Amino acid sequence: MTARGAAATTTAPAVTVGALAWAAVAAAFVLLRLGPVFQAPVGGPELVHLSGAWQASAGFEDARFVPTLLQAIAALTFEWTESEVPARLVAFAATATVPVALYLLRPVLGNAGALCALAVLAFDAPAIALGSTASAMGLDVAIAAWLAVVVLRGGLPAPAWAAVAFILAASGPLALPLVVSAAGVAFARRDPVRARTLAWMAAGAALAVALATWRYGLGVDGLRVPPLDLLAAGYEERWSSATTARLAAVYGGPVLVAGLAAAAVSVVEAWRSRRASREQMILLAWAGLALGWLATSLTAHSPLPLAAATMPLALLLGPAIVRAASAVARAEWRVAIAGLPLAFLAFTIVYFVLARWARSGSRGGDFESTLLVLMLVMGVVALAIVAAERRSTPTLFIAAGVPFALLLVATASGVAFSGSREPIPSPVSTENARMLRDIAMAARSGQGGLIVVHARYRDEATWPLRGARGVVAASRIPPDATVLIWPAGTSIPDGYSVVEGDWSLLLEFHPPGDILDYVRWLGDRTRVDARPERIAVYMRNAP
Amino acid sequence: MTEVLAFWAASLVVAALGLPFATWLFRRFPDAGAGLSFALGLVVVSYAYFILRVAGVLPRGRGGAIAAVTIAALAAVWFAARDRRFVGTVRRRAPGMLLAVAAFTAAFVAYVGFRAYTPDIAHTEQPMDFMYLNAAITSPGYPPHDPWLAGERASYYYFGYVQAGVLTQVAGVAPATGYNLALAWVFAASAVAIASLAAALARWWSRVRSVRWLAGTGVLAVVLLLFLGSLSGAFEWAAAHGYTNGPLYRAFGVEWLIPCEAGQVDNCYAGVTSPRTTAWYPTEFWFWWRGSRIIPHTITEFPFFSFLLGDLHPHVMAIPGVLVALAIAGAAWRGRGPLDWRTHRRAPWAGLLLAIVLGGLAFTNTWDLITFAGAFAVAAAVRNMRALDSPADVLATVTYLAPVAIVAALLYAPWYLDFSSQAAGLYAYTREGSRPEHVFLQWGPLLAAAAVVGVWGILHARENARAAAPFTLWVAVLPLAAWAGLAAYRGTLADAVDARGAAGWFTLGLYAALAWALATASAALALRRHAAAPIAGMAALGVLLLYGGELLFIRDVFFDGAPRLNTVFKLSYQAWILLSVAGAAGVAGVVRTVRQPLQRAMAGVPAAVLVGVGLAYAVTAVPNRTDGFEDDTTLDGLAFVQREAPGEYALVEWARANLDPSTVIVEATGRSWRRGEDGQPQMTGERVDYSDAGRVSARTGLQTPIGWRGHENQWRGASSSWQVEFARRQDLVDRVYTATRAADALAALDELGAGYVVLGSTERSRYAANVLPDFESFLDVAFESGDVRVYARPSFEVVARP
Repeated sequence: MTARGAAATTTAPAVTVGALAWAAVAAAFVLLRLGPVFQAPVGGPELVHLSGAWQASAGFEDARFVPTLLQAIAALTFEWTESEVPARLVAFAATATVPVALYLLRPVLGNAGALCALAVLAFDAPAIALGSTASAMGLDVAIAAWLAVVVLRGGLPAPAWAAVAFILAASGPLALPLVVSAAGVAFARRDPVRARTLAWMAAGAALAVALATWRYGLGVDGLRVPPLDLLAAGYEERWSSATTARLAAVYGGPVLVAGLAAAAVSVVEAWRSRRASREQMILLAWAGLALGWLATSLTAHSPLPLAAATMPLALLLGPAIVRAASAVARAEWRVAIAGLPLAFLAFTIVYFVLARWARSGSRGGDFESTLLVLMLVMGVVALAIVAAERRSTPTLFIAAGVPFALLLVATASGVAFSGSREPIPSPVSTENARMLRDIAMAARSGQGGLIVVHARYRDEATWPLRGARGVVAASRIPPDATVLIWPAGTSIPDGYSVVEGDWSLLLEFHPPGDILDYVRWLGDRTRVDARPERIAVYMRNAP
Repeated sequence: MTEVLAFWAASLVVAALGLPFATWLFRRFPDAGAGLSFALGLVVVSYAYFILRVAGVLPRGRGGAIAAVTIAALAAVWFAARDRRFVGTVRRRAPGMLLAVAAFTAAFVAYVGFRAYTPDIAHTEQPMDFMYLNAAITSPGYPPHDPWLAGERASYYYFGYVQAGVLTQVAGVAPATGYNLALAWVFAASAVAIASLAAALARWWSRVRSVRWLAGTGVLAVVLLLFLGSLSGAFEWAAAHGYTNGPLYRAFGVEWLIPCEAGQVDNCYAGVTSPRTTAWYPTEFWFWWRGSRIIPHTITEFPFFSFLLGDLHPHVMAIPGVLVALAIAGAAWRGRGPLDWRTHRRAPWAGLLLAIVLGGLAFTNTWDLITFAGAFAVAAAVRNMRALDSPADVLATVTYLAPVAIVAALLYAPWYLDFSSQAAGLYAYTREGSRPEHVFLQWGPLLAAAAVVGVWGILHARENARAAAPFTLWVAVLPLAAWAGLAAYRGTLADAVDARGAAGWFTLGLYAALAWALATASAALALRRHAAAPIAGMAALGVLLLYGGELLFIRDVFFDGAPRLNTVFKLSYQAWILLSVAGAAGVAGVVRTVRQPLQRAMAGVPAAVLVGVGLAYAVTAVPNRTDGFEDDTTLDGLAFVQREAPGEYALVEWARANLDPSTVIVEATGRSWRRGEDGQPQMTGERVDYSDAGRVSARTGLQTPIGWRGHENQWRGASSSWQVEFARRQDLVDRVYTATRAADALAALDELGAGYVVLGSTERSRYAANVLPDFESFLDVAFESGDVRVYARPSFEVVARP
């Protein structure tokens, strides 16, 4: 080989472990969101908003149409398709750019820190559901991530702020905590803001608000500021069967706990050093505001505040994981090499005992109870022994990290792959409701007349009956009704006969209620508390 | 418990964002204004909420309230960043701030504990208060709609309800619980605000930095404002145990406690005499009510009574804001350098803050605007007189105040545009004057404390007092001249002189002398640049308000029966606040300043004795109000409905959860109907105000065609056009409930724009069963629980075109 050839060999681009890791995590991020695009049932906020978009596309006034950019796009897609997939693909395409945004945040979070943050985000179940479905907030995860890049890295030319402000004002509220924290930090630090930048921002936001107020062509019905409207709606509307608190307990536990710990460490360090970088302040303020939002929403029925909280916590958690890993690598393993496996063994036995109880639906006998307590004590003692040896203490991150990772993967895979049996999203539009549409349309094409939905089901019926013609919502049976979708348990109206079947428009999935249910659900995610809302279907007898 | 914690936490968050504003305004206060930041923060947040909802930017509901808090927090951060001394001030005053938080918490918890025994939103004007609170929370648009007059916007000073609504929403508690917690907030915010203000005034005077002494001054102020009651309480207590010395009771004007003699029915005690009480305190139902009606044909309410009764009224909710305004006046008086238009140029945002706070006085309780914005104007003028020569001082004062007034008017324009005042001119009071013994019963301790300040001030600055006295005499003379002029103008002067009576003239003389003395003391001390001058000034203003209530009144709907009822009520309430501040700071200052024990005792002991006797009212009224603390506790103001009429409670819950806030519901208006002998429905009676008419709209904030008609008269003026409209609405509602044909009922519903008809226990009691139509034949049953039903108009909506 010539010298020239040797030089060429050494300068050839090499595939590093880091690059591979980035590619793998980014692929996981994208793939975990690709499945729901095609297989997730329409439910939760998406059901509400797609129904609104459908009605808007059909030219009906509907309060469920909140004029965000994605809602407008969804309404546009309904001009040529009845499927939710095109609108979801738009949300997915935007969300798929999040790995790029995280990659650009390397100067702020560090290379490994950004990678870990992306890994956490990739497996964040509420964010998976939000970023791959076509609710009015479908673009929010991507917008928040890119806004973080813009805010934390800076350097955006003034006219570009018009686009930023436009997108923010035309989307949901997920990025609002970041907007407020960035503004608050800028105020607190007395950062100079140029009047030109402010003017561009005002212009962009005004354009978005104007379009929203015009409802993208549907007409003006009062001032509309979509992020604020959706923020308020999250407190009032039922976008989830379970309360936000229960969703947080089931889906947000690992990120919330670990993220809070990371935030606390960050705050303590800043307090001790009497110094905090602008980026650190923004991240902490963002996390604080998002957690405040979550705290005030605990009794609400919305997954949005959970996704809003896990995002900044993931960004704080990424660098913290790197530091923890570094500490583990430097730790003394003499005690931990025995203590940690012992603890894992003990806790694994505890898990299996609980899982057995969960499967059988009742607590076991004295032997199992004693074994459970003993294993618990043994596990805790083993960890305490490891903790007592100061140089071994960092190895406890492994003890915390393993269940963290397992839970994260379990919840993420549940939402991404289990299809239609997760409390996120819930309630969902049922498959047999769609069948119902076909039956109703067939009957109507034969007999003419109207498909009448009881007024109580007006909102629930919009999505499954989309595409049907001659549908009315009424509280009484009109004379020209052909098909009645009516409350179950009502007597059969004269001249009508029952359409046999277990009909329901909505199906609710509720998260496990107690620890045994939870353990069982971890092992078998299809065994979830499902509650269909039964309805009756009547068809006019043929003359 | 969760609700209490949530409300408390929300209060602290709001106070925290009020802190930068408070430290800027009240930097020289011992707590840097932390005690005032509770009220200040809430005013700022609530204004942001109000104006952004009017603009349509903020949506309805909890999210809107939280967004307002966030926006106000950003403003607070911005403000704090521009105040270079903010961080240093917070560090320096941290002990005072922590004390303020602890005091707020203690007062809040204490009042919650009391209120948990009497939580019902059931009597007096509480349904009206609850109606406005619900309107502030649920109204789909802003300015909020009037639930008792569907289609119209509220015409009342309702900023207090907006504030209570914001806290309720941020805390995420139900309005019926928020009502009671808002009362606790007002109590606690008033306590820390007056403690902060009184301690600051006392410290400026005595220059003492002892935390214990400052805290003691604050406690004294809290006692005077929030716990002191009518001295009649001591007589009530004694009478309950059988001690009714006739001459003594007559001398003190409490004849109503002396058992009636044969044939006597008026102004004597006609209840059970042996024994009057079965406990150590008077057990007669609401005996303490009489303490708020001491002077005949007036209301002489005071803060303790208000919190005991538990009406969430504007004058109660205004207390914290009024104290902030007084503190601003005190700080302006105390500050250095002239205040003129350049002040606004240097700190325009500070001027905006002043406009929000002072302008908010009118929006909260309109009566307070003139008094307390006036106090601020006087303080600014005094400061400019110190800093500038005349006439530059006058010009500076005008150029300083005018922009604040103009901006305040603009900021609150959306409210002014809807507000129609019932005031119909200034009149001379020409009937019997107040008896001095009643004045003593009602304001004796506070006037004694004020007298201590006045005497000390005059003695301390004798020479200046001599010089000032001829000028300050006008303070006493001008109101009298105005009275005489107005009475002469209406041709009633001679009669008025006679009607007032000897006792009335004595009272007038007493007030005039005290007002003159205090004004003289204030002027004399101001000439010596003594820090006690604003204290004497506040006391003088307080006495002047009582004096004014004897001479003049604003004509309103009570003109014929009790012409000065509202004037005395509102002015004496303001006087109580002013005299509490001045009394506490003044007595503390005098006791600290006077060296000789005898003089110190002469100053402190009489006031202390009177205050001690005045506390008998609170000591006995609280167990009376709570039935000896023996009932179950809850903070749900509608728990009594759940207990006594579960169907009605379920109706409220259902309506709140399921009906659009813009819905119009039809419910009983207060009229009663039965079927006459001719077979036609006949009206048999009408009891509207202070009844359960409009109860559903009051409890939910939904609109009903017509609620308490008499109150609508008060709020909108009794013009003939409104009378016609009110009657039309009542007739239409009656037509719904008495229609013999479905078409008539539906036509009436159409005309009212109503979608729902309530048929509950109230409607069944007002409309006899044989006049009620068969609603089910033409309406849908939307809700049913027991005998309570809500009917809805049948719906038919095309959701997909054929």
